Amino acid sequence: MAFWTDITFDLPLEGPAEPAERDLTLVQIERCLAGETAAYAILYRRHVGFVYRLVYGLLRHREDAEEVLQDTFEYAFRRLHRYDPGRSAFKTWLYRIAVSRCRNKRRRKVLPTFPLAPSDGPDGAADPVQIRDEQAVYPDEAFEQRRRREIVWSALGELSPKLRETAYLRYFEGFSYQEIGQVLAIPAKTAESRMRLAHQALKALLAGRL
Amino acid sequence: MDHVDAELTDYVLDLLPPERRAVVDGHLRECRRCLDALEAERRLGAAVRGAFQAQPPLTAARASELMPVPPVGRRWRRPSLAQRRPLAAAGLVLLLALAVISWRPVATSSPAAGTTTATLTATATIAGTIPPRTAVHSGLSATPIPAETPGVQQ
Repeated sequence: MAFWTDITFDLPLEGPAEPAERDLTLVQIERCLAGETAAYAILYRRHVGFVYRLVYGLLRHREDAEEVLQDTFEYAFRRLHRYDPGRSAFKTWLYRIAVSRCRNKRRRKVLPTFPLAPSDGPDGAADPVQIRDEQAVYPDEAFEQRRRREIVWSALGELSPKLRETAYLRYFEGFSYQEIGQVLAIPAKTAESRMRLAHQALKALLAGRL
Repeated sequence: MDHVDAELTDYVLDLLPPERRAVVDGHLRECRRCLDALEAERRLGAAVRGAFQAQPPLTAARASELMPVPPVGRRWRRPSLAQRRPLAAAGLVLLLALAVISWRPVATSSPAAGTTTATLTATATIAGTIPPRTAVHSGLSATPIPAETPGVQQ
């Protein structure tokens, strides 16, 4: 078995904080480029969690998300020498690759495969599409939260991919419009317009349902 | 009282210019209705954030399995702009040197070519300086004119 599969990952897998973490990331990149194979595993471990969250959030399909995740890091590792820290943060660069691959994945599929609500996670979380006796397992409050999330996911599933990408980057990541523009390769003003459209669409779709 | 409902989406999305934001802030301090509308906008954002947050996580074991094989050995790295400038200058000098070297043998080993060039240059210079009428006259004198040519005096 290769050494990188033996590496222990410390959960939770979260994205790096700024700016000290950013410096550490740059150090790891330099080590990778110097030929230290172990540095790739460290770089991967530091970023895999939030890249997975992004691609899963956009594709809503576990197998597709895993495939895109792998593809994203494979491409990033091969093109690491092309990353320019002066132009964007490493996270932004990775996100750009990941979003591009998500689009390719969607384009290749004739029919969308993502469900309108979260599917099973590898940790054995229940599939909300299935009708289950949730109240027997969860307290009322948890059930209510779950019901609301399903409604929100249903609404997010009705947004166009472009609006959903923007909504994810703004609502969840808290990216500035400039950063969203860098990830999606669009001007910041376009990112603003898309975010406004996404918010208004969600407001209409969720009116009286939350 | 002018309500600010229409601007609340831009307000929560941080899209309002500072002066409009100040106006909306002032209005929200006085208007319960708009404050409730603002809370609804914020609840929407929180609900979407919560939905993204509640995604099934990637386990450490699965993440480990999914890691692609790292590239082996030292990778060629594209030189930075600062590194590329001296390289470009050196390349230019080399090209000029090659051009000079390749031009010299032609000039020395083929005197005829040099003569032709000089002659052509001189001809071009003369042709440029001599008035047109003189040039026409010279050309006429070099070519025998038939006696019966009308309009030409012998």
